[in-house]
Amino acid sequence: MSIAVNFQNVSRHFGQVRAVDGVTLDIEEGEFFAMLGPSGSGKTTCLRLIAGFDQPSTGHIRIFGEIADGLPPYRRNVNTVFQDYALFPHMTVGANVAYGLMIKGMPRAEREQKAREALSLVKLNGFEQRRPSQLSGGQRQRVALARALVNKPRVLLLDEPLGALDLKLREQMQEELRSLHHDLGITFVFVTHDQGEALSMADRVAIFNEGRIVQIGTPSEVYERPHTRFVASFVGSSNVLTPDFAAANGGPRAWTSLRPEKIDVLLPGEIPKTGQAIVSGQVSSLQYQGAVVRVAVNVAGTRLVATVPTGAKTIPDGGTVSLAWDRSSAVVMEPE
Amino acid sequence: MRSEPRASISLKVAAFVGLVFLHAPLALIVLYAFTTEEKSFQFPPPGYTTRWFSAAWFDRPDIWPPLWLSLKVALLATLIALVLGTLAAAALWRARFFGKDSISLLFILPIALPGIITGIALRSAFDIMNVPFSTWTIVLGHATFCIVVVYNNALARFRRLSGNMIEASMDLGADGFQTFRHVVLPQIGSALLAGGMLAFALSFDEVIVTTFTAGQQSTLPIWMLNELIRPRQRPVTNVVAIIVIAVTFLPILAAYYLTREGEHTGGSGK
Amino acid sequence: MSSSSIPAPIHSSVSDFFYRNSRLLTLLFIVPPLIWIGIVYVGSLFALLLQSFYSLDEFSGLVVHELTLATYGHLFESSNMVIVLRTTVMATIVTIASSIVSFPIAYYAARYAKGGWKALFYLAVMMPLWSSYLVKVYAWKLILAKEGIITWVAEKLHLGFVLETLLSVPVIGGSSLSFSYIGTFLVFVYIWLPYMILPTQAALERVPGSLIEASADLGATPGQSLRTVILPLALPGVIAGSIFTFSLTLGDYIIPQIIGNSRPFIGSTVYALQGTAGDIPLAAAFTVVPIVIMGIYLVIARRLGAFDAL
Repeated sequence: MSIAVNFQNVSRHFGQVRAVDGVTLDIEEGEFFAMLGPSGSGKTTCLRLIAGFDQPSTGHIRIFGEIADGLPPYRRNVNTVFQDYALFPHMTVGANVAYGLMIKGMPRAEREQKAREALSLVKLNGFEQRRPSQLSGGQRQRVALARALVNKPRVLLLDEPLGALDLKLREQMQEELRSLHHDLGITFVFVTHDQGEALSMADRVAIFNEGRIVQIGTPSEVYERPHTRFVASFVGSSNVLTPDFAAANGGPRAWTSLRPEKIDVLLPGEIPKTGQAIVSGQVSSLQYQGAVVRVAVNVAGTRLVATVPTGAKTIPDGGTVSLAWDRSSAVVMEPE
Repeated sequence: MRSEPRASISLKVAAFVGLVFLHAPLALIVLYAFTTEEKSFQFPPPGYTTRWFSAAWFDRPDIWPPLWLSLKVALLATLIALVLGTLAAAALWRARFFGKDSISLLFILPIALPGIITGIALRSAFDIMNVPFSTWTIVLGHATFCIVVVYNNALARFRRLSGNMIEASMDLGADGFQTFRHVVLPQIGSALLAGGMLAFALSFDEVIVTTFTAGQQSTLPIWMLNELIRPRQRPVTNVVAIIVIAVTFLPILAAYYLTREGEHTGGSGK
Repeated sequence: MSSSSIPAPIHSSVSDFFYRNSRLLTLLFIVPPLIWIGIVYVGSLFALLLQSFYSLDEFSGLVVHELTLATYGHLFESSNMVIVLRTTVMATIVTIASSIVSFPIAYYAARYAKGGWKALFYLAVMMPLWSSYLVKVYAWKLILAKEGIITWVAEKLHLGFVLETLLSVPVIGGSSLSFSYIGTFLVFVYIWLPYMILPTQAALERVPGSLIEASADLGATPGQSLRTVILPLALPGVIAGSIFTFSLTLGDYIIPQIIGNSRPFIGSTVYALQGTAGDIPLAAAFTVVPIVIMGIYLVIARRLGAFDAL
């Protein structure tokens, strides 16, 4: 596998603001790569740097080994699906999709044929003559996708493409994007602030915070082995144990992450498995969440949250319970 | 959906009376073009005739030179305003630079200050620099306030143009010129046309600045002003007034529909 | 990845250059209009200011190109100050009257007119705004003439005496409406009215209907809602409109020349001074007065948030 996109110590400053601050990164060819982070963390700026809408202040970006410094967007074989789709309102859907081919000088009949194929790829057969204004949000999204894919980019950039869609449509599009990626075999770089989306779709995830990448890994790596307190709390929810608390319960004296679903809630009389760490405290709240119940427990001033499958046992609100976890479930993190 | 609000009778009457107040005078201009009475403004007119239209056409050669001058000036001023106003709007639309707000204020100044100030200022400048009056001194003055009209129209449309549109075009392989031709121009074209038409209408009947920059030349509004102060055949003035109304009305109407259409397509991108 | 395999047209490399130097492109765009406005317009304003520091030689009638404050001394003579006062009072009354007349029109257009009616309403306001200034003034000459439509209507309604009484009032009266301050005032209000309606309407359109419903829900009568909710929110629009009506009245010289009792206003004085009298320095000094008044007015308007409504 070759490297599709390479960031070499890239920074982008806007005045005093360091939107991207020393990012080094390799995205492999054919990979579905997600950039995850809260708003303002630099993920979208990184995407714009790949597309060529913006240039790094320092550092270099290589796309398939070629240095991209100063290269305008129209000289890069990457295409973008914009957050607001950016369809041209004065053109039909067909003309929108064929736009890139028209610019390349492809004859009309040929490019119309290609546009039809691209539209059928996103299940919009027969929409060529419509105007973007006559489409629903989900359909516009597909047109934007077709318009990018018809140019056969080596890298497809997606900037929060599902952000404007409702939940049902979003889940459907997630599946379709995955299968498109699988069928086309090109590199997808996907920007999102939705950790669920990133975990369920991507091969690898880069987690951004304050202009830096704080962790890169497969979804299960970043979920199971968060390197920092930020990752632990941003990806899923987690109990972050202080060094003192961790040390008092048999772990090393370090910040430690403990996922709620890894904690067993024991009623008085129940016995923990051998080798488990155990603490006890008072239930401070119960939250019904459908499949699970979230139990918050006050352990000598520290709040720990555990989840229990609904209906597994009846936990008394305000009562005393014990919490037990395998020591291997407690993940030691880097000091920040 | 909330229930439709209903206007009270008194509000309806007040709004209606206000509109009549705005339009009745223009209707009277037309009426008086047909009166048989030429020495006074007697109402109701003692009789009706169409002879003033032929009188204006055949007996008053003094109307034609001002008419041609006005058309020439309006055309030149509009062309200059179209180029400069569009450039200004394009530059101030996306770019961020120091002094941007002051520059945009500068472009609005010629209509924010009373016309007499623009007029006398230009007159002073010509005086100091010994510039003789000519068609070009009139065009100079007109273009100055016509730029604002084009600038405002173009800027309003530019603002509705999603910034991503240009990036999307470049992303799909179009360079700056191709993007301008295929994406920007089709979307701002009607706004430019509208701005140009408004500028033409504005220039065609401008009198306040023109008096100061024309010297001895006479544009059609200056001809009218002279007729108002020293009337000869009053109904002929009305005939000319109708021509002026027609020449300004049509471009304004066209401009309105052009920008409305633009709003429609522009808004659909959202 | 770069399209080096495809032969690049020449315009493409020009485009590349400007893509890398986008500030240069902005500069290239802004320079021509800036030169025009900056040199032609602002330069002329400075020429005007400069002229006001020159003076007129009273014997030769020629402009003396030497800097002096004599012209400003001349400006502050009482006969000239009366003109400034008269113009300012007229501008103030005209502004107040047009805000009152325009409010119901703007309110109706903003809240009640729908669809096609709304477009028609908008056009009905826009047309007089854009149609020829001179034609409109002329129309009022017809209306206000002694033998014109107003006198005729008054007589038909047997209200001729009302008109006579009005015209016999000292100061504002005159031989006929077209030779009185009343006439001048009416025409000013008419001509500048659209400039007041449009910003007021724009401000009213930004008042969400739910606010009025909320006000009614909390027990306010329609009158109270108008006074406590709608008017305060529409005020920036009214003030924005008043910038136009005030400024335009201050600087106008044609209306008082054609309709009125021929007492001079700032505009007509400037016009006479630069024309027949050839006293450009005093004319220039006179125009500085509306600039200063408008400057003060704009500062106040800005404080009241009128600029957002423009």
